[in-house]
Order: sequence, then structure tokens, then C-alpha cells
Amino acid sequence: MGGSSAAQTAEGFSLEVSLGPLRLSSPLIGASGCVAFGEEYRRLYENSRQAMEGSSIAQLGAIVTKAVSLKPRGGNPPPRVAETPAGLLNSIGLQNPGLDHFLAELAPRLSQLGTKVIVNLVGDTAQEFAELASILSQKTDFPAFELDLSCPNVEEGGRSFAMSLPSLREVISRVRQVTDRFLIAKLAPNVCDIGEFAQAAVEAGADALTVANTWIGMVVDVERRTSRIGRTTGGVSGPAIRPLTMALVHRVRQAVRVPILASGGAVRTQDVLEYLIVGASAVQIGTGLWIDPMCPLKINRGLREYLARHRMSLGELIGSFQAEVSRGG
Amino acid sequence: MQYGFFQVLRQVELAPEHFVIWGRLTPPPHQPILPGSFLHLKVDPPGDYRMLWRPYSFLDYQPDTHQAAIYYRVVGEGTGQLCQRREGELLPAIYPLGTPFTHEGVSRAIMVAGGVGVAPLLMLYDRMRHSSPQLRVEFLFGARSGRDLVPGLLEEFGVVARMASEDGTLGHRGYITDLLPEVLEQGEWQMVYACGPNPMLSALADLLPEGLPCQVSLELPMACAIGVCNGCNLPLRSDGGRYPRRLCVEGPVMDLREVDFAALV
Ligand SMILES: Cc1cc2nc3c(=O)[nH]c(=O)nc-3n(C[C@H](O)[C@H](O)[C@H](O)COP(=O)(O)OP(=O)(O)OC[C@H]3O[C@@H](n4cnc5c(N)ncnc54)[C@H](O)[C@@H]3O)c2cc1C
Ligand SMILES: Cc1cc2nc3c(=O)[nH]c(=O)nc-3n(C[C@H](O)[C@H](O)[C@H](O)COP(=O)(O)O)c2cc1C
Ligand code: FES
Repeated sequence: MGGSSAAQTAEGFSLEVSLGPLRLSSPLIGASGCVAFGEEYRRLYENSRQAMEGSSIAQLGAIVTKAVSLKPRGGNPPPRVAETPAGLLNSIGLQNPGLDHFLAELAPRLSQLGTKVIVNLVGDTAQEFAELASILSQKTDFPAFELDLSCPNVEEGGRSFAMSLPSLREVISRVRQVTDRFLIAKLAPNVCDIGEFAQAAVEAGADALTVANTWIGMVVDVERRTSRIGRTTGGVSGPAIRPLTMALVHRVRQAVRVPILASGGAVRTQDVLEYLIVGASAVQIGTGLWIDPMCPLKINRGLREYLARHRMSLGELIGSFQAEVSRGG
Repeated sequence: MQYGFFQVLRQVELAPEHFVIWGRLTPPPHQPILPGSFLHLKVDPPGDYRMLWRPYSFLDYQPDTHQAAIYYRVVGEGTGQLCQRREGELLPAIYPLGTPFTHEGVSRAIMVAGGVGVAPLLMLYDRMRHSSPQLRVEFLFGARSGRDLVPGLLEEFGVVARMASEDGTLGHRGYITDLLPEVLEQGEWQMVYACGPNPMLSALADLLPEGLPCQVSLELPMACAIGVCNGCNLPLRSDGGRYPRRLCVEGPVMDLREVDFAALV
């Protein structure tokens, strides 16, 4: 009985959050590569209302598309995924149908998806990133782009854009010159001080930062003495990386003022609360969707209950972390 | 596909490490459950949010009661969890998934099963028997050891199989594919259906005469099982490394001859 009245009050608490021009109905965002182009989850959630009332793609305030590159990409050989303790190791290889197919087939359908859409871009060179951003700005009206900077920069010997300050600056400023869309730079976690990279990204023109992509990892099949995936190393995602990425979000919050989209291992309300408290304005959910496909709905419910219980707004919650509070005693 | 629950009704231990788990699909599936299709299942305890789900082929499905069966062998972490699930527990699931076997017009078929790969073939056999009275099926079933050829399971489906075990403890000593040439000579076969470990399927691809079609149900690790992650993309002989097909959507049933087993390891 107390529960139902608490839930009613909780309903009154808005989860709306703004990221530049994007007004999101929830701070939860489907992560790039984990929701494809939205269609499968839209259908799954629509078909699942009997099991889970309120099930809808709109429980995600937005989705970020799979990376889109100029030319189609086939990706890496199998196996592409392996489970790790509380995590997932992947080497998909940015498989995607390419810009032409995206424009002709996917973009028109994305406007009907039922939630906001951020387009994730990937290229081999800074020039390719700029070309993509320029064409997408002319031909579509998606309000925001996310740059996947963890991919290798072929002009710098394959080192990722996000791991070299000069190439990070170059790619972001080149893209900034050709588009006025809301620009989100997605940083890589494997750097010495992510604060420096965050500052460089913002100086080069990023409007917001996604912190962070997968962590480089490796799992060995001891019988065959080979990698468990088709490539030697891959990216680790899921709950295993959450405390690591949490510390990065905290560091980036100290370094810059722009909005942060946290990405790493969120699956329960608790996880999202942690990221918001540490200073993220939105939290992307990737691998969590495969640990609990209904987690967006449950987290939104949980967030409202938390706000009701603490009598605070989402805006007040974001960045409310108190580093120096005495632990009592 | 839809999200729902596999409500555990019972676990039947057929032999050490071999289980059939029965559950009721709640809510009932909107789409028919066909042989070769599968479900994606949360196998760890409710409230634990650390493990990925596991895909399992349907072994049986009763449309009137919405009861579904899965046959599994305890080999690792996921099945170690699954065998601990008890009556009454609600396991979150997504069902049905994948592209099933086709059997319209097929009345003379060979089925080649390896290990737990027998599951979708038993369901297929059962459906074909009901839809085609003149059915003639030669069922071949192989495994590492006789213990893995759990006879009770075949009996339940009224299947009499030729068997092989690698250690010779039951049936022919060796690979199940050793028995294939003789069977091939014994009839005018329309179709071969197969499911089992990749080396078995690869051997099958080398043995089958040209012109005899073969549908195989394959396995690759899956993260999402609904087509979003591109984690299960399959190497095909003709695709030039483009990997256009996802095993969880366009498969798991594939045309044997399309698959590039050399790249599947
Ligand atoms: C479409 C599809 C249908 C499937 N249907 C079934 C089914 O009907 N019954 C079933 O038991 N499994 C089935 N599987 C496999 C299943 O999803 C799991 O991979 C399997 O149950 C092992 O899970 P695990 O977590 O216990 O093993 P893991 O901890 O993931 O693996 C443990 C070790 O066992 C090996 N291993 C993995 N699978 C097997 C296996 N099947 N036999 C022997 N060794 C293995 C792994 O390589 C690893 O070394 C299916 C897979 C797919 C893709
Ligand atoms: C299978 C898979 C594919 C991914 N593909 C992309 C991608 O194309 N572009 C990108 O920027 N990030 C990609 N990512 C990274 C995720 O968007 C996310 O940042 C990362 O997985 C950490 O979050 P999580 O723990 O919530 O999954 C991918 C992750 C996974 C697991
Ligand atoms: S398992 Fe994700 S696409 Fe098939």
C-alpha cells in the first residue's frame, strides 16, 4: 500500500534531460553497436508488452546507431565474441552497410523509430570522418553525431585516434569545420590521463564526450593456445569494466564542463545512479541489454523511485558526488 | 520474437550431466515454435545481472499447453547454472528466434546428429512424422562416448538410430559420418538434416554427393541472439570475407554448402 503511493509520487518525477539540442525523455541511451539501427529492439519491446507493461523503445531516451563508415565493412573473422567474468570480449570489426545504404535504406526508417537517434561515425582517416559528417549534415537532419575515435588511424600506423592527442585534435577539428550538429567525441579508456584527452577534445570543438569505449582485452583458449576470439585482442564491455569506467567519468568531470555520456557496464538502477552522481548527464547501455533486455524500463522506474525518495530532481542528482564528505565515526 | 519467461516445470536427468528441462512459455508465443528455431535464456539466478544469456534449440514444444523442452549437457558455466534452476522459477527468455528447418515435400531424409545437436533433429523428426505419413528417415547419432548417446531420449521420440561413439562404448567405434556412405546407397534421399560439432558438419560437407541438399543447424557464441551485435556472423564460401549472414537471424539453419568451415575453426 505504501509502495503504490510511493510509486504514484515517483511517476511525477521527470527523467527529462537535455544534451545540446537533444531533449531526451530519459537519460538512458542505447550504445553504439549494441542496438544496431534500432529496429530489432523496437520490435522486441513492442511484442513484449504482455510480459512487461510499458515495454517500448521509448524507454531509451535515444539510441546511438552502429558505426557508419563511407564504404561498407565486413568485419572480423569468427568467433567474434567470448564471455569474460561479468563481461564480454568482442572483435566485431565495425561491420556496417556503409554510408550509401545508410542514407537510402536506414535513415528514412530511423525517423519513425520512436526515439531520438544519434549517428555514430567511423573512418580510417580524419578526412573520412569529415567527409561523412559533411554528407550526413547535408542529407539528413539527425541532430547529433558521435565520433567513434577508438578505431585505428591508418595515417598514424593504425594507432587509434583516441590514443594520440594530435590525431584526436585533428579529427575533431576537421569534423567541427564541416558541421554544426551536436558533436559527441567518444573517448577510449586505455590512455594515461583521460582528463588530457577530454580537454583536447573539447578545445578541438567537441560539444560532449562519451566516456568511454570498450577496454582492450584478451582471453586465451589454453587447449588450442590461441585467442578465444578471431583476433588476438578485442574490446571488453559489461559490468566487469564498470568501476574502471566510473573512475574515468569522475576524472573527465573534473577536467571539462561539457556534458558526459557514460558508457561501461550499466545494467541496474544502481549503476546508472552512480554514473549520474559522478557527473554524467546520460548513461549509455550496451552489453547490459543482453544481460537484462528489460533493464531500461526497470532503471527508469528505479530512477523515479530514487528521486521521489530523496526528493530531488534529476538535474540536482547529476554531479552531486561529494568527494570529501566525512564517513562519520 | 518476444520477451517472456520460461517457467520451469521440471528437470529430468537422463544420464549424468545430461538434462532435459521443461518449462512453460509465459506469455504464450505469438509465433509458432518450429524445429530449428531456438530461444535465448537467462540461466543464472534471478537478481544476478552479470552473465550473458545462452541460446538453446527447442527439443519439443506442445502448443496446447505452451510447454517447451530443451536438451542440454553440462559443459561449462552457463549449463552449470541452468542445471540448478528449479520448478517454479521464472527464467527470462526471448522466443522464438532464428530461421527454422524447412521440410515441405520432404518424405525421405537422412538426419545426422552429433551430441546435443540431436535436439532440433528430434523435434524435426516428430513434426515430419505427423505431417508426412510415408516418411522414411534414417537417423544417425554419434557422440564421443556411449554415455552421451542417451537412449531414453530417442525412445521418447520413437526414433531408432544408427549410433557411433568415438570410444566404441556404444554402436560403431568411430565417427558417425563413417556410417554415411552405406546409408546414402540405400535410397533415393531428398534431403539431409544435420546438427552437431563443426568438425562433423565439415566432414559431412565432404561426403555428400552433389545434388543432395543439406540443411545444418550451426552454433557460434551469441551475445544478443536478436541480430543487433553482429557477433555471430558466419563465414560463407562465396562472401569474400564480408560475413553478411547473422547466425541468430538468417540461421541457425543454413545450407551446408554455403558455409566456409575452414574459416569456422
Ligand atoms: C542456435 C543454438 C542452439 C543451441 N542449442 C543447444 C542445445 O539444444 N543444447 C545444448 O546443450 N547447447 C546448445 N547450444 C549451445 C549453448 O548455447 C551453450 O553454448 C552450451 O550449453 C554451453 O554453455 P556453457 O555456458 O555451459 O559453456 P561455456 O562455459 O560457454 O563453455 C565451456 C566449454 O565447453 C565448450 N562447449 C561449449 N558448448 C559445448 C557443447 N555444446 N558441447 C561440448 N562442449 C561445449 C566451450 O567451448 C568451452 O570450452 C546452442 C547454441 C546455439 C547457437
Ligand atoms: C558487440 C559490440 C559492438 C560495438 N560496436 C561499437 C561501434 O560500432 N562503435 C562504437 O563507438 N562503440 C561500439 N561498441 C562499444 C559500446 O558502444 C560501449 O561503449 C561499450 O560496449 C561499453 O559499454 P557497455 O559495457 O554498456 O557495453 C560496441 C560494443 C559491443 C559490445
Ligand atoms: S548474436 Fe548478436 S547478431 Fe547474432
